[in-house]
Amino acid sequence: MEVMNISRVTKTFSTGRQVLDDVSFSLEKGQCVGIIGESGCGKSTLARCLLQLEKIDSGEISLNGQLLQDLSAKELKPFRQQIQAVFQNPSASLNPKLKIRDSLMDPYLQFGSQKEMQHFSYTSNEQYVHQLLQAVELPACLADRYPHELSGGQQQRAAICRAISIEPDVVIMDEPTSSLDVLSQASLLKLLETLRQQFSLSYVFISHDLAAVASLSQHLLVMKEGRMIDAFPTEELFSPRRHSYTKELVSMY
Amino acid sequence: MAVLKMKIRKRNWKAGMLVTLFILVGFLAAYTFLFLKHDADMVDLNSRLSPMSLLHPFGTDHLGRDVMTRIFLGAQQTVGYAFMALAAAVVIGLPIGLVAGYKGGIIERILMRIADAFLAFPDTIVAIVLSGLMGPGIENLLLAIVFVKWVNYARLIRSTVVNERGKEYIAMAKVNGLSDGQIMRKHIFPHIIGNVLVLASLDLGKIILLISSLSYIGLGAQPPAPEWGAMLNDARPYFQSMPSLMIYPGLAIVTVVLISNVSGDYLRDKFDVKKEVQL
Repeated sequence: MEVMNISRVTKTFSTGRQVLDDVSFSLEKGQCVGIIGESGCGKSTLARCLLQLEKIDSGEISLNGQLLQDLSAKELKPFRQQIQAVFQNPSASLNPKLKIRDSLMDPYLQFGSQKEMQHFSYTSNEQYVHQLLQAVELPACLADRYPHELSGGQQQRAAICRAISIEPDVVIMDEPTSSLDVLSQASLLKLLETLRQQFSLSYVFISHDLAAVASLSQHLLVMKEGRMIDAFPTEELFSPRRHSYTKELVSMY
Repeated sequence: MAVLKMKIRKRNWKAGMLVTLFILVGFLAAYTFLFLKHDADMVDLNSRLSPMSLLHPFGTDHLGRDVMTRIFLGAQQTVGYAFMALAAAVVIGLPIGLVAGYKGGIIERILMRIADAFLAFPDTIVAIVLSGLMGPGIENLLLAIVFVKWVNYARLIRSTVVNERGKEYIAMAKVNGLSDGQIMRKHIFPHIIGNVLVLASLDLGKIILLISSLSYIGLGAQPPAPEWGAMLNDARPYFQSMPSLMIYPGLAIVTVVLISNVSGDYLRDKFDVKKEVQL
């Protein structure tokens, strides 16, 4: 089943630079699509466009069959509960002035009342937050800390449990492992895989780290200068039919 | 460990000084209002310019009024007016700074150019000109102070908001469907409140100085109001024969300005979440 479909998306900045040029892909339920590319190729802009934080110039973005790109902020709100995000910089994605507990409650306070949840249950803020932290293997005592009292890996886990807290269909991840050390990266990737199966999530995993992307994704897309230059199932990464740029990326590992 | 102890002692020094001052002032006020019960405006020419005594701890002025009673009632005036001016400045500056910082673009540019125009004039001069134009009186003086002070708050708040609005947690709040109002309340306001309180408590001292100095030259509070600056002005002819008449209001001004500055420092330490944890 297709949860998200992106077709022929283009975006040009006001400076005249074309950041996205005819980008298309689709995302199946419970699958992970990996997007690889070097810095400045438009990966992060694509993430922001998928999340409707930026308007696209042309093309279509649909989520569970609903076209998103022309909706106003108000019309968009009901669909926000189906799509969540994890960003690159874990220390910036949690408000430094709020306790972890308060940051984690954001999605539930907005959507909790409209959403039937299968894995999480809500009886009190306390119990709900503990459940969330448990799901990402964090101790419950972190709920009352401020973000700067957590390590980078813990911050990123907190950001992830906020993203899954209302059991969305799609999670857009923009370089979620890039600012972590190798060990934290490995354990985070393992956690993401577990969560994907447990909550039947679909991921769009954006990174410049080929190894991280390949370990999690069923499908890979290669981006260069705003264009999708190659798309293939992960098993065929080493096939001789790959685009020369993909081969170059592979050879660097 | 040694560093840690020193830091704690330093913080407690500020808090301790504030508490001591408040207790001292409290005792003096209790003595004045509960025990002596003078009328601040009652003229008694028989006992004019009398030196300090138990009945008149700070002596009497040139009209025989009790100086200590007038100093305390003056606190109500000087400090009270300063608070009013400050509150008005924050109330005007807050929405303008928030909107300019959060919305950005053309709205920000328009609002900030207006603010720059206000900022181009030094505040004392504007206050003097305005109260000169509109006539002397405490209301006009306060209006003038608000007129020059709101810009500081608008600019401070705007720069804080501009700093935060591009951060990823604001993007996440949008992804989570929070409205602009909710984002400002929940995510941006905690960043503003500390800065504004610190600036406000430092400003309080400056505003008190401004009110007193303009009252001294006759543009602010009018006699017989027991405003400290006005009292200084009244005492001028007796500077050589009775200098204490100038010393007491002067000391009162210095004390309040000092309290305002120390508490500003204290609040700055207090609102710095990160620093507190390092201790």
